[in-house]
Amino acid sequence: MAEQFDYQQLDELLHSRIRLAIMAVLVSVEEAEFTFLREKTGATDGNLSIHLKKLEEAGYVTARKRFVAKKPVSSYKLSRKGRKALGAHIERLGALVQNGHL
Amino acid sequence: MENTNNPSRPEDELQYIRSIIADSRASFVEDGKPYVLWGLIVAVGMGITYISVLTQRDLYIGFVWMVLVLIGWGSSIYYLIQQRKQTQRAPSFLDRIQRSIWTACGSALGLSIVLILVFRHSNPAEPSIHPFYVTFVTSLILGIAYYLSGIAHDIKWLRNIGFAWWGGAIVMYLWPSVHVIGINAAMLILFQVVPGIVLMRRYKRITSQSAEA
Repeated sequence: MAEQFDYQQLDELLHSRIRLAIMAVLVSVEEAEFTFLREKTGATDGNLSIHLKKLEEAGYVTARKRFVAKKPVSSYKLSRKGRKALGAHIERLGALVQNGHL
Repeated sequence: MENTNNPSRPEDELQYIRSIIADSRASFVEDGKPYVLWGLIVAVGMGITYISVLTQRDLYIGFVWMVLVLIGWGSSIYYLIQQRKQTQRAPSFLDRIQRSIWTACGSALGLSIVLILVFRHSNPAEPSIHPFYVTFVTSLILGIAYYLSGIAHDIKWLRNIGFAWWGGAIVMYLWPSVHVIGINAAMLILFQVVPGIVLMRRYKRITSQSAEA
């Protein structure tokens, strides 16, 4: 069986695969609409909204709401704090891999 | 209920992040369609012009070019509207750079063609630029567009096509003759249509890999 690693060494918020996926999508674009994030993460509307709210509350993403052809459109952008957190998370994972999971 | 779905190993988590980033980036891979479209349109126009000049026969060149340019612009507008739907959902810096390169170079191409071929006699006091040099100028500009696109997309062979266009420009400048029209048509097939087809195949491969993942 695969060796387990200590999750407490990592960012609590980024434990969730959906939240991690949202962050990974946002790092490769300037900003992304809700529907684009839904398509890329494969999450349901409700689930995605909950995770986006958590990331927004933590200051990892910023939301922008506007109307396009009278329909509300929400776009999300990775904040500087979020970019730093994702970078640190990836660095920590890299270190864990190099050190044989500690 | 929150679905945390933690991976079992950090390797898996890193791989997961990589696959998500690769999948997102696949949305912005150059699909090569405008390269093939404009390459074919201008190559056909150049080919017919070359035959017309060589055989001294009136092949309705003006009408042919008008139809070709209308087809090109019509298709380009349709393509840009489709692309806009995608890029509006998730704009990327790379996409903005790519559009800027081709808008700048496309405008320079259009201006140089119109100024050299249409308005070349506007100032009779000054010697006009011979129409043969239009292929030299357009090749220089296409070289810039390919070089910058290759750098932006990090595709070496696409960048090197810029050197091929510049090489062709030197040849057309040093030996201006009626044959530059034929050379230019051949270059459009080799260095515009063929790279476009390669980019289309690459786009299909990357998007299908991302869909499978």
